[in-house]
Amino acid sequence: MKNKVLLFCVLLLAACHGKTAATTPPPPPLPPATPPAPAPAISLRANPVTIERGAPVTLQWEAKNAATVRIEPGVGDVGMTGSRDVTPTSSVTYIATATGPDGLSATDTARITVNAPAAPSEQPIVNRITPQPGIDQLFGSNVQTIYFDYDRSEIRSDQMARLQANADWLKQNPNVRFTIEGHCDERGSEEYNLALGDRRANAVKQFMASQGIPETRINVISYGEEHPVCREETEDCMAHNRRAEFVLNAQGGN
Amino acid sequence: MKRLIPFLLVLLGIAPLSSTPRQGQIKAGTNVGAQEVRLALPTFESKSADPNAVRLTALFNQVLRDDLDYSGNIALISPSFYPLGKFQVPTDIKVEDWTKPSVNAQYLVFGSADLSGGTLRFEARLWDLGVVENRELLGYRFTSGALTDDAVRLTAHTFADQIVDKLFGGRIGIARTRIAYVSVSSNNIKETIKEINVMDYDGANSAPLTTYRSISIMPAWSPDSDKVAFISFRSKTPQLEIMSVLDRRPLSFPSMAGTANSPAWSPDGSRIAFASSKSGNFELYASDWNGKNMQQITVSPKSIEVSPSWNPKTGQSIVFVSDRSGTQQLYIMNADGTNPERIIDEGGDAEYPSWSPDGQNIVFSWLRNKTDGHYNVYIHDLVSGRNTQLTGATQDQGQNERPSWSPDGRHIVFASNRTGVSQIYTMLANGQKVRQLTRNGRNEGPAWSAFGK
Repeated sequence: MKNKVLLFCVLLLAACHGKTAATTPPPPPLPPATPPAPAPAISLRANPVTIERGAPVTLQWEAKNAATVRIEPGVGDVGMTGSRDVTPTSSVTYIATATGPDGLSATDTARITVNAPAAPSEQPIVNRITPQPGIDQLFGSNVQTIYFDYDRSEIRSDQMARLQANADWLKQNPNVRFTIEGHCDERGSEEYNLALGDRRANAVKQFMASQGIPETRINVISYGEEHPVCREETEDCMAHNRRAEFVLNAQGGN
Repeated sequence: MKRLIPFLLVLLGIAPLSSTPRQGQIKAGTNVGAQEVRLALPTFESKSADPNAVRLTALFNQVLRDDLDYSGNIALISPSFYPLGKFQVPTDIKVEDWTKPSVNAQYLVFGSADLSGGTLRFEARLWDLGVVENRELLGYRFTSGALTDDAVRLTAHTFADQIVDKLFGGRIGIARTRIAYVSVSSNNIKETIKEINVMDYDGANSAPLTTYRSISIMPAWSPDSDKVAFISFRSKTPQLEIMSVLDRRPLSFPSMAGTANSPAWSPDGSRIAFASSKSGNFELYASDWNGKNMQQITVSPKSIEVSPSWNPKTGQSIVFVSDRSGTQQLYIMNADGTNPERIIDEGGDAEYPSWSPDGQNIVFSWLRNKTDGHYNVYIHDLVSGRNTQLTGATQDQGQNERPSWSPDGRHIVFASNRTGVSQIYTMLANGQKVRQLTRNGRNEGPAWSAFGK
């Protein structure tokens, strides 16, 4: 400000110079104007930015062209560059301010997120949900093997309830595709038994169809006497081999 | 297969020793065992002391003896009656030592073996002792293809077939035929694996035909013995498959709906009959062996039809099993399916029919008496209607199943569990000379090849 006033006066005197005779010497020239001081700058970093409560965070800053640097909250005046460990107890934004010699200032911030583990009394209530059984387990427990008399393929009266239950479950699960396997005991020719197994499987398939299950869901295969469940030559074993077994097909396939 | 090479070499290595073979003097009748010739077979000696040559010569002797013994019309005179001495060359033979009453030989087979250039070379002769001149009916120099058991067996089999041909008016011997059968292996009951193997007619040289590690069953030889048709589960549902025997290559047959069952070749080898449930219930079909021109030949929607077998003499009719009467019985129909007729009126369950090469008999497995619980092998004479029981007649011989004829119509192969586990057996068509062919594991479902390869 003073410089400008001084300059003005000098210019006035110069403009008047031509009229007066030199009577007073001109004042000495003013020193050249100093350029203004560079603006202060500061950068503030925090590492890590997310902590569990009680863990330390390292603040790191670097200031330029500053007369003073101050970090709030809770840190105070610090040097131009440096680092400081802090342990905030809750989430906070640190502000670093660098002030230059002519009063200009610059700031930078760093946000710390503090996660507080829940106190034991704050644990969520966990209720265990019973896992859903897979479709293959459901199939296996709801669709049962059907047994036949020697040399026969008709559905036995004592098997009807079980066969009906099979059909009911299969109707309730319309996405299930399955195979009916026909089997025989070892008596008789392999060739006749392969045919008898086929007949048994088809008898069961016909029943399913009559219950409204579309035939497109049902495959049939005969194993004749080739896949027994037991080999003893007892009536009990042979009765177990004369059967129609239900097998779940891979979902989405045939 | 490895068998072909030594066979070809043997063919090349047969050199007649004499140039005037005579016609056989004995004609075989249709009754097996009715006309037997008495034949003496002194041991062929090994001229070489090499231990392998000695061992293989002993093998030759044993196989030749077994082959001649099994032919059905040769009575081998016991060596305890033979004169003492070496009998390798014609000058070793004093005919009267063999024809005198205590020996009473009609024919003599003799010779020797020698190691020669990495093979075993046999000189072998068949003499008719009943004539004064021109006794030598056969005189050959055989060269085994290699110094192996296989090659020497084949040499013995070849000579045995020559002898049968010469003695019985051109009859073809079976010593080089083979048997396909099912070999069962299972690590546990859930993983039964059944493969089809092929072995020599005497049980030697068993080798796998299928290696699918699945269930492969019901082998049926083509009439040229080049192919075996069978049923396999390897594509999940039971399908009819055909494999060439020589190189074990699958040959094409179309896959079908339903379950395929019991294939059987027509006698000219052009067609296959089989059972299938592709129309919904089991019927018999026939097609070209590549699956073309397939026709349904039975129409019996309420019953099961399975197990066809063609008349090998005419190719005009087929015997099969049907339960249309309520129980499993045998029927014969024309090859086009017309005029089916039941052939046995008794009850029980009849299965696995196989038509004899001369067209006269059906061999089958019969549960004649349901309370008896035993399946036995029977022959049904189509002319007289008589049924002859071949197994289990005098003692319990377990279950005896899937009988089929040798191509000479004089022998039958079948499966029996008389030892506790199913094994393969052969016997003469009169039930005699039962021979166990397999001993290890569980074996079933045999079929006898045709002549030829």
